[in-house]
This record gives sequence, structure tokens and C-alpha cells, in this order.
Amino acid sequence: MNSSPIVRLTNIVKTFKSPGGIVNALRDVSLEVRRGEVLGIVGPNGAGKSTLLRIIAGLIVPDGGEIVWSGYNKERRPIFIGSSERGFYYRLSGIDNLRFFLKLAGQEFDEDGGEFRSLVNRFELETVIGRRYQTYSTGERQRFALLYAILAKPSLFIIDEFTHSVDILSQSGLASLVREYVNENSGAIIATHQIGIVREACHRVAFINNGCIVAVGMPQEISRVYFKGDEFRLILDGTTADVTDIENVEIIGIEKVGGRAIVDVRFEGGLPELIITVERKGVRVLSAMNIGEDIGEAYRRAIERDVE
Amino acid sequence: MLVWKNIKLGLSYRFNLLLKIVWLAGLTFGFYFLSKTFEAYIPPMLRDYGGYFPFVLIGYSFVGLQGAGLGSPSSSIRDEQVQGTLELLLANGASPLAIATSGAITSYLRTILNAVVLILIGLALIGGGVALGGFAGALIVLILSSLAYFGLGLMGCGFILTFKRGNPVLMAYSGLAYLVSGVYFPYHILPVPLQIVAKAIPLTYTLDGLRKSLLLGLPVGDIWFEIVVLAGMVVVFLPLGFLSLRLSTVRAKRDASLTQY
Repeated sequence: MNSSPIVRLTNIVKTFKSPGGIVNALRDVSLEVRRGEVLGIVGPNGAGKSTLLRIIAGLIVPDGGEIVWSGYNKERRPIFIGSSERGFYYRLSGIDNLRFFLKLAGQEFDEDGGEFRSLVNRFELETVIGRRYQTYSTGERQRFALLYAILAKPSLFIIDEFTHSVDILSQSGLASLVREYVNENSGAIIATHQIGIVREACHRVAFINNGCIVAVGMPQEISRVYFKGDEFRLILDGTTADVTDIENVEIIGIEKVGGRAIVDVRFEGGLPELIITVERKGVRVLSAMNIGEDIGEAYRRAIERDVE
Repeated sequence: MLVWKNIKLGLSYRFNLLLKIVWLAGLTFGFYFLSKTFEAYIPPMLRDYGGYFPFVLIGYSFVGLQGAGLGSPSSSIRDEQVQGTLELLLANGASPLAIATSGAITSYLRTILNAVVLILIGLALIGGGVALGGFAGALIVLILSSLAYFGLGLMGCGFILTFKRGNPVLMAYSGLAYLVSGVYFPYHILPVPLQIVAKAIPLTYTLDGLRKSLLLGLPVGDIWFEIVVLAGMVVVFLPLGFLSLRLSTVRAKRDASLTQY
């Protein structure tokens, strides 16, 4: 991966006036999207993800800060795909929408070419591409948006929550396709609150909360910041299972669900050794996992720490 | 490309297109027979034009130019907002000005096509009683009028981007223009204050210029007054329209309200 940035944002500030007062949508946000990478922007609703992406797409002007592009030209514009299912013209066919928007994006488009046909097949749109867009299902619309973005050969894919209304499997599949089509001359930035997309598709991730970037880096790097030593999650049989005074096992949190206890612990050793240690105390372990590298858990802690 | 898209979308409403043709034909027949009813009472000022029917035929055939120029820039932006396509268009490099311009061009093309159909139906009804001429002057009047209305339309477009509502000033203006500019009757018969208002409205000069050139066959030199007035309006309205749209676009991008309606 060529690590030079496609776009670099420095100290981006954006405030909005609303009837309730001033909203600080973005506060001193600095980050970059590098060539060949998919950067995930993850945060709760209202964190500033969409504002950030629209600023990169040029749809919103920031109040302060700097945006520097490299490799941006008329033929290789960034492509923005919003969260709306609409986006394309309902009364035009898929193929007419592609003709129009690709021409606008400055791309040649050979609709009889093998590359196009194979992409259409890959996206499972071959039976609908000649039909009006209004007849597409939600999943077909999402796949169509991605097909368009890939055919537009952008310098940067800017994708805002575009998988929000499809099922989990489709989300992961679409996100993986983005990763597949990012090459050494392009990058992608995906805003989402689905941590599964980060796991499937993102090389790096930035956590955003209340308009601030609270962590940015590769998932493993971020996880290390939020986990000291090895941390594990045990699911124990019986809510009264007592693991509080086992030697070398430090309890981080206990939650009782149904007839089970979910216990997060810190333990200086491997997972098999932990299970043996706990079961020796007469507690039955139903399942156990290392949570020290889980980006979802790191996200939860990052947001909690930021709130505190 | 934007115009191609607009035409494609327009053609997708085929039943609407059919109804429009029926409506235009019905309107022309209506005015023709109205004119026949009062043929014996035609005032002297209309005799040079060949009677009331040729006069009103030019009036209602080309009055749509004003609506096209005034309304289509803002309605094209509004349509994209409502369809949810505005973000994708803007992110692909289309500017609000390009969207507004394409909307106006499409609308002008439609209006001129309507006018041609209306005039052909009208001429067929008259049966050779009127010979159209002065096409060069008519073309100049059409171009200048279109640019003047477009300038006003861009101002309305700025209004809609800023206030998210149709421009009531332009709507009121449009209604007033229908009344006083000589679409259905000569403005000279109006009370003097309304005649003064008529002289401040571009549509008056558009229709005067078109009638003089097409119905009387006058050469360009004989309609210089209408041409100069319309050119003056273009020089004032067009830059103001560009400025208004530019300022409102910058403001909407700052407020993140470009796609709100």
C-alpha cells in the first residue's frame, strides 16, 4: 500500500446555528485518507460523521481548517454516495442513470464491454439494469450505487452509511467490495456505526464522538490503547458463579443475563490457562474469548472514556 | 448532458405529453372561435395584425417563455432536492448554476416547441389569412427575452436556496405580467397607471417585438426599440441573477442546507 495521502484534513472546525443554540459539529478534526486504504469513520448518531464526509465531498464549507488534495483532477474526482436510497433518477433506467452520472463524472462508459457486463453480473444486477430505478429493491439500489461508484473510477470513495438499510450479510458483502476495488491510486472513507463493516473492510479506523476524533489508527493499534494486558470475556453457567477471588484474575466487569454471567477479566496468561484456573474453582465456563483485540469493544471503551 | 437527462425524464411522462398536445389544440380552437364570434367588433389597433386571433395566437404561444425563464431555474433545483439527486449531482461536479441553466434550456425548448405547434394549428385554422415573416427580428427578440427572464429566474433560484420556499415576489410579478403585458388584449386599452407598469415588464417588449416582426413582417431595424429595451434588461438582470445564485450557494454550503427544502 502506498501510504501517501489522497486527502489531508487539518484542524477542521464546523459549527451550526440551530434554534437550540450553537452546535459544534466538528472540533479541530485532523486526519488523512491514504492511497490504497479504506478508512472507517465510526461514531454514534450525531457524532459528526456525515458532516465530515460532506465537507470532504465539497457539499459543506467548513468554518476553519484546511483540506489538501493530492491526485484530484477532472477525470479522477472523489465520488460521494449518501445514505439516501434515492440518489438516482427514479424514472430513468439503471443504464440511463449510469450513462448520465458517468458522463457527469467525466468517465467513458462502454455498456457493451466485457468489463461492464462482468461487473453487472458480479453485483447481481443483470436482470434489472435495463429497468427503471424505481423498481429496484433496497439491496439492488445499494449495489447499484456501488456499481456506479466503481465505474466512475474515483480518486476517493466517500460513503456515508450507505448500507444502513440492508441486512448484516449484505452490509459486510458491500463493504468488502469497496475494499476490493480500492487500488494504489484510490482510497475510501466510510462513515458507519456498524462495527462489523470496520472488521470486514477497513484498513484503519477513526472513532468520532461529539465532533472530535477520539482515536485513529489500525484496529490492532487502537485496541492496544484501550486494553492493558490480556483481557478476556467469560460466559459462565449460573449467575451466582463466584470468580471474584481467584488468584491472578482481575475482574473488570460482570453482567448477569438470564441464567448466565458475562464476566470480563484481566489475566496474565493465555486463554486455556484462564479456563483451567476458573474451572478449578468449580465454575463451569460455557465460552471464553480474547476481547483484547476486538475493535468493537475498543470503540465502546473509547466512547465511554470520551463521555467521562 | 443535464438537458439530455431532463428531456429523458420529461418523455417518461408520456400520458402527460399527450394531454398537453390535446390541451394546446383545444386552447387554439377556443381562441379561434372566440375571435370568430367577435369578428365584426375588432378594434382598429388589431386590424394591422390581421384580427384578434393572430394577435392572441402570438400572445399565448410565447407567454410561456416568461414562465420558463422565471420558474425553471428554481424548480429544477427544487426537483433535484425532492428527488434526492442534488447531492450526487453536486458531488459529481455539477454546479447549481449548471442545474438551473439546464432546467431553463429544457423549459425554453419545450415552450418553443409548444409555440410552433400552436402557431401551426392556428395557421391551419386561419387558412392562409396571415403570412408570417420577420424571422430574424423574432429570433433576436426571443434570445434577448430568454436571457432577461433567465436573469430574473436566477434571482428566484437564489431565493429558494436561501428561504426554501417558492419566491412569492416572482409569482406575483408573473401574474401581473399576464395581466398587463398584452398577452390576451393590447395593453393600450388599460388604465394609464397599468400601462406604465406594462412598460417596466420585459414580456410587453417580447410580445410587441414578436407581433411586429412575425405578423407585420417588420425588419430588425424597425423593432430596434424593443431590442434595445430587452438588451438593457439582460445587462441588468443577468449579472444580478448570477450574483444572487452565487451568494445563496455559498451561504447554503456554509449552513449545510443545500439539500434541504
